[in-house]
Amino acid sequence: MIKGIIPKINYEKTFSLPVMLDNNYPIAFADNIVIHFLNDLSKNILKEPSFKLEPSFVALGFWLRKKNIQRILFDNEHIKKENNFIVKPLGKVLHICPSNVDTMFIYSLVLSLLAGNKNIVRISSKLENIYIFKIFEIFNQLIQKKDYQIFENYINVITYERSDIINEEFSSNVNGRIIWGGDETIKQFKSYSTKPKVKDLYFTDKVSLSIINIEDINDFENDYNNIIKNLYNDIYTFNQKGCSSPQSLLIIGKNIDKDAILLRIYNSISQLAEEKYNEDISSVSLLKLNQGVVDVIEDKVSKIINTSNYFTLAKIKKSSMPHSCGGGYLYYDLLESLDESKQYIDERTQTISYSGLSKKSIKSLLQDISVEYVDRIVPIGKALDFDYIWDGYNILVEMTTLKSIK
Amino acid sequence: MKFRDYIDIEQYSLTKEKKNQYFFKLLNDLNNHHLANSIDHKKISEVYFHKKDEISSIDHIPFLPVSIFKNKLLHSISEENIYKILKSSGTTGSIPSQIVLDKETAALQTLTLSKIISHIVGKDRLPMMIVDSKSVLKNRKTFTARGAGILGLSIFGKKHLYLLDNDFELLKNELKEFSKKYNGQKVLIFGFTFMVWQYLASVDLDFDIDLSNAILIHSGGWKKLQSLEVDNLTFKKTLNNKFKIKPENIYNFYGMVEQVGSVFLENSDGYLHCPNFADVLIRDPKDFSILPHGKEGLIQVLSIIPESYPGHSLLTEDIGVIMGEDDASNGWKGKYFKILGRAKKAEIRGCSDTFNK
Repeated sequence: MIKGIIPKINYEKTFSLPVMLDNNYPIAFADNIVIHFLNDLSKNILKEPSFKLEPSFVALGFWLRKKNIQRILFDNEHIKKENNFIVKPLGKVLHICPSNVDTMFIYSLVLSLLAGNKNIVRISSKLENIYIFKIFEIFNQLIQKKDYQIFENYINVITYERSDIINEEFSSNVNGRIIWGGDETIKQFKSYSTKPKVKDLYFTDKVSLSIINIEDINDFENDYNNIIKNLYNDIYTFNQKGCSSPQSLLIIGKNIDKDAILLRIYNSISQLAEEKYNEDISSVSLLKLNQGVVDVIEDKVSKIINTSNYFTLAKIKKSSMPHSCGGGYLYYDLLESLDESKQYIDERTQTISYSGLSKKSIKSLLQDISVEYVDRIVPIGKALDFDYIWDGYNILVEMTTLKSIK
Repeated sequence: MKFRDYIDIEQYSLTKEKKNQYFFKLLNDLNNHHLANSIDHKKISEVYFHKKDEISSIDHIPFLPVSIFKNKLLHSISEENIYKILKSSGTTGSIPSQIVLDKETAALQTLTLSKIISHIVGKDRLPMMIVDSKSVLKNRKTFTARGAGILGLSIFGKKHLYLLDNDFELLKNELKEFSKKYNGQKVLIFGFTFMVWQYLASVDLDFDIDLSNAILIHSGGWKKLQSLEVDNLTFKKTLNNKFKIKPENIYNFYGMVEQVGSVFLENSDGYLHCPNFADVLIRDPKDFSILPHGKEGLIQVLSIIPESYPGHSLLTEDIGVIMGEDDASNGWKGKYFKILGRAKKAEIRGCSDTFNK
């Protein structure tokens, strides 16, 4: 039996193999009990005082509300209404979750629960955020309620140091695996033996960028403060290291002084970061100094704006966007037209967050680039908003199986 | 003043005015040498630090993060003049720094280090005790800053005794012999701070030894001792009680593999003191502006020694504060400072970080 699962013990580093998950699946796809459970979870998260100042936990609380869960189910209602097949859970699902975004494993788990699956969620042993332990407490309290005891078998959150033996043991016993990257980890998991019909979702290494298209913003002056606030949140909430957080900034416009606008944005963001950003600035300043110097030596950038160590802008020289070191280090370019931004979009591009792009220009941009490029295009401020469609997958539907009936 | 003449000036004899006059000029010449001979340094100076004209004061000299030597092999000499590459990692498993030396710079490092050490030890080589195991030098795989430090300092002694065996057990008999043989004589002891504490200061001996004329030099930082609540005063007191080493003959020093040759020795007030060849500036982590004496920030170390690689101006990961200048109670001139700690390792994790690397 697994030890160290949420239902019984908060968080332990030891457990024993093999995993004994039985083959009974009392919970159905989009089961009411899951919706209720998630709604109660949401209530408890939103009323927890220590979460009030943690935007990512507040966002999670809202995302779990009945209204939002029903929106997701409504979007996918067609698969329940079909006459030719019945939708069923996939079975047992292994989640390999990242450590950069503390709440990520919950989103992953919840979508799979909604599909009706039993879950083994491996979280990073580096997760040290005290709020995570608070979340475990909330989970545990709920699961102790009589109505929710059924989830004990469905939610198994564990952690262990890198181990091929454990990885393979899990891999060979599950029907689905959700592997939240990066490329190295995916490669690793592809090498393990699995059930022949395992369904894998891979989230590969990606970069994201922000576009500010000045001319198509109706009232730039009026919108300015909002754009700054939203851009700040997209960059700094997860230290710029969520894949969907912008690593680069493109300012687009003809006949305007883009250098002046860039400098204005630089000053506003760095000022805001100085007020709000909590990370140890000594470490962040050294990290970014090192990145800046490396980028200059490697001829990746031609200019660096760094009057404050809270925010660094580096003018990109080559047409492929590099990964940033995080902590508020963005590559930038100043462009005449949206068309020119295509040089920076490739198969690694995940999210484009924008200000001043119409639905029409977004569609025409997608028309012009390869189908292999770009997963999301969302307004600035929404870059980090997780949804059930991610990196091209409808995660909810992917985690089901269809029984054909004629 | 010529570089060679400057080197011969007595250590700790230069007041602020004198040092400003000579040191900046020599450092700026060295900076110009690197601009002319290292394309990397030139790019960094122009693109990162926006330098186009002649530099007018010491705080305008560009600085590199010490971590750059882990990421890039920087040099201002042609490949065929590379004499050796110093490699050192602070902790095993981390990426080592790589410092490119030619014969001149290597010789200069030894010369300047000896100028500093002989200022407190004298010109003669002394019988020397090393609080470590010789095995630290033998295993090239685990050769770290510790090994490099021992090798660097051992040239100031003779008849070396390594106090620990391969299993890091104290060689009590050898220690007894050593102290008997050189009873009351001037001897040199060197070791890393925590090694001296753990293997010398903390051991119980069933015999008395008299090291009342010993000079103890130690380095490596206080981090491990802080957790044991041992400060500099306790450190000195304990060694004095046990071995009669005079507190004023115990010297901590601060130095790094990226700037071998210009070490900062502890002065009589317990602060780290700039030698003639080196200087420090304290920078505000918020914007890298210069902070006045008394304010804590990131320590920048400047040295006129590194010719073969652009390591003359480095921003360290250490946080410190300048405590005074020209007025140390032992009469040493120059700036002195203390170290408050190290910037936390900035470990910002990406999506690809599902498993610990």
